[in-house]
Amino acid sequence: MSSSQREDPGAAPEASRAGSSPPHLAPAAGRGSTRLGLARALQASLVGLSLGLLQLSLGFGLMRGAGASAALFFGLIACWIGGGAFGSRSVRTAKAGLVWLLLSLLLLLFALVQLERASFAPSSAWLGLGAAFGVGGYAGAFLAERSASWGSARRVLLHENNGFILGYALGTFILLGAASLLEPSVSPPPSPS
Amino acid sequence: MISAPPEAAEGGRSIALLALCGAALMLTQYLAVREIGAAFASTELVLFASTLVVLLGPSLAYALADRLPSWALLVWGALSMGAHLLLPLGLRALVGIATASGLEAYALWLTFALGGLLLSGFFAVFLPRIAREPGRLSTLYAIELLGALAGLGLLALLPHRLLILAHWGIGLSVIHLGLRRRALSVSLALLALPLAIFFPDLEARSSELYFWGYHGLENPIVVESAHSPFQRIDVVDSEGERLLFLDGLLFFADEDEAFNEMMAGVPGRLLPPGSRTLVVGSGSFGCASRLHRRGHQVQILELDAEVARLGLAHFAHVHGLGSDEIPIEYGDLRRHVERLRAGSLDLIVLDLPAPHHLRTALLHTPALYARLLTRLSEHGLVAISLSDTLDGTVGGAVAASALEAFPEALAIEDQGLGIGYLYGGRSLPFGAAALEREARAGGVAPSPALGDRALRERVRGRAPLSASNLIAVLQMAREQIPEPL
Repeated sequence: MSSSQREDPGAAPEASRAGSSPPHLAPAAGRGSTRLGLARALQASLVGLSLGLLQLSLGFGLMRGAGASAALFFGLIACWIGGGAFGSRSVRTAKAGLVWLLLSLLLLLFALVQLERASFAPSSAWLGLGAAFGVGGYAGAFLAERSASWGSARRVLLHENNGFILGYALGTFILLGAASLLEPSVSPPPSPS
Repeated sequence: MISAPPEAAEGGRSIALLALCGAALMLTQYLAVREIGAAFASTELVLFASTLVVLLGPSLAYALADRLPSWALLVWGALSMGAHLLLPLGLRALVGIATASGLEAYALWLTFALGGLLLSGFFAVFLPRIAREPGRLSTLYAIELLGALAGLGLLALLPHRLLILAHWGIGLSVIHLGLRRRALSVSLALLALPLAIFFPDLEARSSELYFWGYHGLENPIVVESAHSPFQRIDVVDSEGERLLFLDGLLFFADEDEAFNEMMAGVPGRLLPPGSRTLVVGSGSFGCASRLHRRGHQVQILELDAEVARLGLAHFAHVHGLGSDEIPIEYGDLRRHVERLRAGSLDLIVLDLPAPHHLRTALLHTPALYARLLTRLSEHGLVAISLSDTLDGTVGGAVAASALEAFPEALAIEDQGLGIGYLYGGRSLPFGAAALEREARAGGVAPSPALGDRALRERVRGRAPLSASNLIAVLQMAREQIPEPL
């Protein structure tokens, strides 16, 4: 039992009232999970933020370099989610997660360059979808591995999701204001002069 | 018969619950963004805000998960299911009534404030509650994601009405498995039943309230609504006029005949009959039919098959075409242009939506215009709507894009609609005087046409709309935001 699941006298009456109800209907004993500490919370948030930025960058890259088809949109989401499911079950250690991440980032960069250089070639779209599987896979691996090693699924999920939202918001405004910052293959706008 | 031990049965229920939560979250994200977007004029900012709201729900759920007693979960679940039942039926009515009462901004705030809590939050609360033993998250999270994948499958396969019903069914199953209160499950199912049976009528009445309140239409009647993977499409009659709305934005009204005239009628009359033309975007088919009647060879390229279906079926008074009279291809212009032969077209009409979104903004870039130029014959041209005046933020940006790509260009404004048009090519087959004369002959009230040199002088210093400069998308979105915001 982790330290977070120790009995909390304040919560005991409620928990006992739950009687034979399933565990998810009973409130957690105590605060339910270990505090992560600032450094870990920040790390989870930063990973979330990066994932938000990467997802937007990849989505925009695919839209530019492979077209605005519904099949591609659904394909991107399916690959990201499928990657998440695969990564959470298969990439078990922090070290393996790091290797997976580096390979995925390389694939992502290659895909973005290919989507620019060989726009609308099927191979470019497949590379983009592969990168979505890879980066989504890292998201799953990170959540699974860190929630086990840091002792709290809820807090890892919370901070990672908060970071993702921030990354999504930041990425949208970068895209609308200065896409070249987010997607290296976009050349910066010419100066007005 | 040997029954499964209670722990195994409980584990099975948890797995089913999480898979259903994953499917519900996926469908919620898609449907909520679509419904909110189509109720508040779908611009990139509204899409951004509604996506943000849906993403905030899980954060709320993760923050509250361990603190909630079962009664609070019960209340949350009931309210959440109520919100899901009302979303496709009530949101448009609410926005219409609120706008008519001058409260549009409050409707927007209310939707965004409650959206995360009531739409996506509840379905995300079970994962951290079931995964209290942290090592279990890997399996449980994978199960939720597999449920989301199944939801995505439903999204791709089911027509809109069945998708809504599936979403309600999945939501009710989550309530039943997650809260274990049979009375609540049955009550909500009984509430959902009449809504499901009368869904088409209720949805149409809700939309009519929306078009009355939000768009100020008198006695609107929804002729047909459709939902494609790209957008919501509404054909509406009001006071003898037929209108086409895409995601709540007006795309065509009868008064827009002047638009069709400037985009296709005028250049069509200035080209010799039999010219090879491509019309990108179908809408009311007004552009294509003008060129067809003039004796040109016409092809249509449309991204969204549903728009073409509704346009052909409901705008016959504009186009007068039979269903197979003009060939239609479906696809993205940027992909399609790669398949066209060099020099194979005399006229390309870009009857496209304004750059309200990133995907439409990418259809107005110098790079794409340059690709189109290569597909034109020696005296071929591209007709472009600026969606704005020439001096406006968007109009100036689109014109700057075109001037970067085309060696020669002309522009003219329709003073009635307040929209500018640009004609670009290598060596245009007509000049400014002919353009102005033909516009008048077509019943349009044009501004003086600008020749190439005057046009370049007028647009000098404006940044083209491109992948690295999408600020015009933001500008268009800001114009749609209610005043009090």
